[in-house]
Amino acid sequence: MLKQVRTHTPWLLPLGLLGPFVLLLLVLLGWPLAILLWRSLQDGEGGFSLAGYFSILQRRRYFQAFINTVGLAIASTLLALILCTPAAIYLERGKGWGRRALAVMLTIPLSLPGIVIGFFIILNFGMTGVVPQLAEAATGDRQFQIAYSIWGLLLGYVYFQIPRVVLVVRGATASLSEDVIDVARTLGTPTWRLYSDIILPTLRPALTNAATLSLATALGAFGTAATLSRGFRVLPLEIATAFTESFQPQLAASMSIVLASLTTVLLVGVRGKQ
Amino acid sequence: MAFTNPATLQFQQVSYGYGPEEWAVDDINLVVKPGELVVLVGPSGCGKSTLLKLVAGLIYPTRGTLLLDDMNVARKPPEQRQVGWVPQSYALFDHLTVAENIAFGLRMQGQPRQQRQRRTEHLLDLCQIQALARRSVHDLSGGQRQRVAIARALAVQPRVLLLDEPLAALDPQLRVSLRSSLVSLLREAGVTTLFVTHDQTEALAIADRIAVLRAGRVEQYGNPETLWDRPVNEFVARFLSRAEIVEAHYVGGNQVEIVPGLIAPIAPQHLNAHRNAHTVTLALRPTDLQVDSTGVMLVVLASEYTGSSYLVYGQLPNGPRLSFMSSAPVQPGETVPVQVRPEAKVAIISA
Amino acid sequence: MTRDPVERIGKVFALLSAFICLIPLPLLLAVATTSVWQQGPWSGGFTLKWLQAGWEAVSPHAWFSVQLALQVLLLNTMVGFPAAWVLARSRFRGRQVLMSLTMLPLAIPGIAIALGLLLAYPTWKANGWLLIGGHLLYTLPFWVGTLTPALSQPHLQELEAVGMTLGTNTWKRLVFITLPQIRGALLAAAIIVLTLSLGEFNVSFFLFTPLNKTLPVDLYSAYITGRLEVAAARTVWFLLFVIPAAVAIESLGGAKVGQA
Repeated sequence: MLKQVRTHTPWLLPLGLLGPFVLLLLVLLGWPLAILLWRSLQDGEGGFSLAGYFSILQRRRYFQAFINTVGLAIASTLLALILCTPAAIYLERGKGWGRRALAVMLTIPLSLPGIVIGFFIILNFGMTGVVPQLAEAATGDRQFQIAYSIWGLLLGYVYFQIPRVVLVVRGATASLSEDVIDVARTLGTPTWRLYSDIILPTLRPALTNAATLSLATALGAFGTAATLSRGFRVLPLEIATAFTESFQPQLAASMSIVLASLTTVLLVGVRGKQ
Repeated sequence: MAFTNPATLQFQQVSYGYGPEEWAVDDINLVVKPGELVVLVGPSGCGKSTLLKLVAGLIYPTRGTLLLDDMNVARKPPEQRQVGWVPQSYALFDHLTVAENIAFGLRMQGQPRQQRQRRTEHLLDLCQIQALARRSVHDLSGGQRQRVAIARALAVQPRVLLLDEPLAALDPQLRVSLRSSLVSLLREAGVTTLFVTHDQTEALAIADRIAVLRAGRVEQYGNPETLWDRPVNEFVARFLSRAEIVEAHYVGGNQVEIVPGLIAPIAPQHLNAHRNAHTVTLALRPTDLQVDSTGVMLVVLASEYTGSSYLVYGQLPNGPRLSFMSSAPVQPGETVPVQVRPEAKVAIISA
Repeated sequence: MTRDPVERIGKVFALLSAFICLIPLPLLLAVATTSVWQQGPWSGGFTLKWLQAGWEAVSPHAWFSVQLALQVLLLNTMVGFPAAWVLARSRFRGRQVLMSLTMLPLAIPGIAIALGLLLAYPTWKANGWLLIGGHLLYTLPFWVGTLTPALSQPHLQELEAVGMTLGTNTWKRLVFITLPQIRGALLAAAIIVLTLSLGEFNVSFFLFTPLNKTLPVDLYSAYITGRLEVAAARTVWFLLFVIPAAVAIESLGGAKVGQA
């Protein structure tokens, strides 16, 4: 392809058009993040202190929330990968009305804010949820009121992970060359070797992508957790409580920095290298 | 009503690119006369499409002068040049109908509706696409798209029309028949045209003059007959035909000898230029040779059936490779006697 | 026809996932139209009173959210369109860095950014600017990310080049060639921005004031304090805003992956 020497594009024009955008990023993203970092290193009197970060490690409540958050993120990501990778392969490796309809259904959670997903869990597994009511009708005993436990949160998190994994894996599956697979078949490759030697290696970058996207989404998820916040505590909830209820801006800022660093490393560091 | 106001187009020492080692287009000097159809031909990457973009003003030359009549347009933006450009994809506006595509340039000039309509009708007539006027460009065939693109370019009375491989996107079966109707359309429009192709048969068939390009430079510029009879170098000779390049000695009369026994006649006008030279370089084409029992023995390497006869690739013992046409099939390994046809006009490479 | 075991498992899992995704919707309608849910579906009969009361409670916040979304869309257009244009068309040093910076808001949890905005500009919360700013920050990546590929298509650039040779200046090219050609992407980007803004909670939760309370924030208080039927009815109204837009995005070929 020809390398274009643009002799007649004045360089001032792009600068002028980009200016407001760059300024906006600085004002709305750069400066607030800098302030957040600054405040995470300042105690109440304005002196330098790492107390906020130490609290996360030393105080049982916050450390537990940290472990909860990471554990929930990993567990929901694994579940979503196991459930949705074969589903996405099925959806993409064939045609038909049915598969397309299924594919559309699986994107529903994308349009729902986390709080609505949390409410769905309450509808199903809350005190008067459908599942406990059905269980009562069947066994005479109200069971499965798990909305506010770790299981409720896990289900809610898997719910919003579904479309994220499906979309990424479908995209990669679509770019699999059917010719390559057919050639491998004519060379006598058994189905399981087709997956282990051709399909999965091709999908691996996509699976890594889907995993990091899901992990980052789960780590930062606030809406779902906020709706189901009566029992199981995660880090975003503790940030909100520390800031709005117990007025500990340093602690809230420290936890935010930890969370933001984790998600940024996952999304920019790991995915960027692909 | 004139369809065009054809201009003289001149390239004077035009170069484009990053510098001496990296010119995409290097020191081009060409003159295209008003109404002339000039074909730029060369292998892919030779810079022919870049030349068109330079004329269109989509890129500016790094050096040199580009004259439209007497005005240097090298630094003028495309919208001030009045040059029609038809890219290989035709680039039709798919949000507009056929008629709207053709009228687009007129609308941009702010011409009144009636005038616009009249001119659009003229072009629909000229390009014989009246029936398509209201259609969406999505439903058109390749040939129809080409017509619309050319009509759109001609609508604004371009001073030069630039066609980038206008036949390449068409089915091979259609290409030849659409080629001649395209040429008659261009003649009727009377527009100065630069036509890019990589196909040497196409170039020979339609051009008033041909410029053969290689690696950004013009190797030879002239009418088709000159290029065919007197290619300036091996590249031009080989590019235009399947010629084999051989050395020959002048042996008196109107004849040169390639190897003992293989004698080629030379046209007298060629002779004048070479009378004093001891050796000449010939471009021998398959059609210049025939099977002849008086000839020299050639070992057959391979042969291809071309429909009416066989194209045979052979080699002289310890000598150059030659190919020739044979009416009878031959087998690889066979030896066959060949001689230059007495009536052949053998091309001499004369730099 | 398939004997591929992975696809067979995939079919089962796809059906299961679709069931999980869909089942809350009819359930939501059932709860919203039942007098007393505690006694089971439609016990005490079918009723529209919850939906009616829900609309009365929701409509002022819905109106506010729509206004906010439109403002955010306008700002996206003003700031994001020129930026997408430059990112698509110019080659300059630092372009790649800027592209990744554009996407950075998506990597950072909304709650962290909301906190940062509050700490950086404490006085801007009351006048509502922070809310607009937060929404803008989280929608810009989608706006720019949808329009930049559309604007950098070689086909579009060739059409514009033809337009140039036909005598159009920059503005006419924009109006008569570029915008009509990318109208699909523009529409998709606009709908994405509107739905994301309408559904945004993580940032809004920290930046709202009683005077400017968004629809999701109002929903949240219903979830925390209200009875199940009321909350369900309000959710139904909210989904009536969001789901048509989602279907439109899907049919335009776009998919958005925001935060949860």
